[in-house]
Amino acid sequence: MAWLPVAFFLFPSSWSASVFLIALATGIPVAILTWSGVSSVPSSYYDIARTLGGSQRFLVLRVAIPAALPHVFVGLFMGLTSAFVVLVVAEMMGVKAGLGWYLQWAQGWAAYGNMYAALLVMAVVCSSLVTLLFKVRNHLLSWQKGLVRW
Amino acid sequence: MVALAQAEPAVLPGMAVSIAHVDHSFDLDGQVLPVLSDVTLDIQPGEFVALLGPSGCGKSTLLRLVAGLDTPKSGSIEADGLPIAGPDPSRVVVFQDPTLYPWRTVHDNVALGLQAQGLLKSHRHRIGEAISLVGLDGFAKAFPQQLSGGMAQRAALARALVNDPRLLILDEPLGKLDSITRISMQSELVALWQRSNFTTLLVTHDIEEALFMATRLVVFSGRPARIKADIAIERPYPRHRSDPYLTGLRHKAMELLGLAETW
Repeated sequence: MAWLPVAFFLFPSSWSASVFLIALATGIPVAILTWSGVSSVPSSYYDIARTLGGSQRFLVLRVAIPAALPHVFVGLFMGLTSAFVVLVVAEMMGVKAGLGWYLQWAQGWAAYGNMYAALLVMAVVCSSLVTLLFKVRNHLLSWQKGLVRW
Repeated sequence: MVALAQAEPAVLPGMAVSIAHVDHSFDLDGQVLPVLSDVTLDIQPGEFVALLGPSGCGKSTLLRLVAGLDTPKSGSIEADGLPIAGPDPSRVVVFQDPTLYPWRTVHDNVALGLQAQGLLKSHRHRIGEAISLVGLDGFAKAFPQQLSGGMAQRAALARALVNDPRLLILDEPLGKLDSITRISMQSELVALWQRSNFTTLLVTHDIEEALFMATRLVVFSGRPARIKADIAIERPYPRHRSDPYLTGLRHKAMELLGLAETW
């Protein structure tokens, strides 16, 4: 949020500024949680794969990535929600398009019906994206069934 | 030797391991902690050697060196006359923790070695064989978190055996199991070793377990570990825990470990 004025100052268009802000808002949680996920893989997992003849590539693709995936998804969920927040705030503040902007504009004209409609669309889009991500996660992490619930 | 007579005709014999004057130490914040001191041990193909010593003395470190997971600071370790340069699927380790990958089913965990070596297509039938060898029929599709401790350790054993190891390295594999499961798995391990002809190296701190299973008992001192005694256990299988010969050896081992007063 603090980056908003800086971004609008530095970037030539409000479009590229909002792209930058969303990348920042999603990239940081995803990167940090992926990193912490990979570094929390127990070294015994690698020992096992090494004694069974696993190459470096095998250790990355078949051990590190699947072991870190639950953390990556936590990062993705955080990234998705913060992307939404940043996008809407950016549209309210500078970008001259999008639902956030429309919300502000409808409010200015006292078109409360339109405003609530925009709010509803926003809620539907956001929740369906979260649901979609949950579907992907449940598919990839089906082994966690009964192990972790969140 | 009875074991070898009963074994099926083998493609590959067990591995000979030759450990000569091995010293090893860890660096902890600039301080050198010696763990192994002048360890020399010759293991013949097909032997079942138990390494016994006080907790934390460095036995497991020796196993990691033999597995090729670490390299000794000095001295040499040879497998069939060739120096050990790194891990190899012919020398497979079963650790105290089963360390099954939670995202893989029992079947896929057992398949790990074949997959890593690119043998999955040609050797797929071996996975089912290994699973039934350890008595996990019907659990191939289960995930590790659905298994009991003993079953998980069986799965870890199948994951090792599927690679047709020539040296099976067991690092306190039964250490965390309840005593009933442990006793039955001791007999199963011996039966597995008798049926195939791999060399077995077992680290344990259970004297009775070592005497019940191994053909040879190597007793280590406390850290830094050096070999205190190397005792042949000349008893046929199946053995009996009440055997006076084994009880005598147990007394001797306890003396070597400085526990004679508890006898």
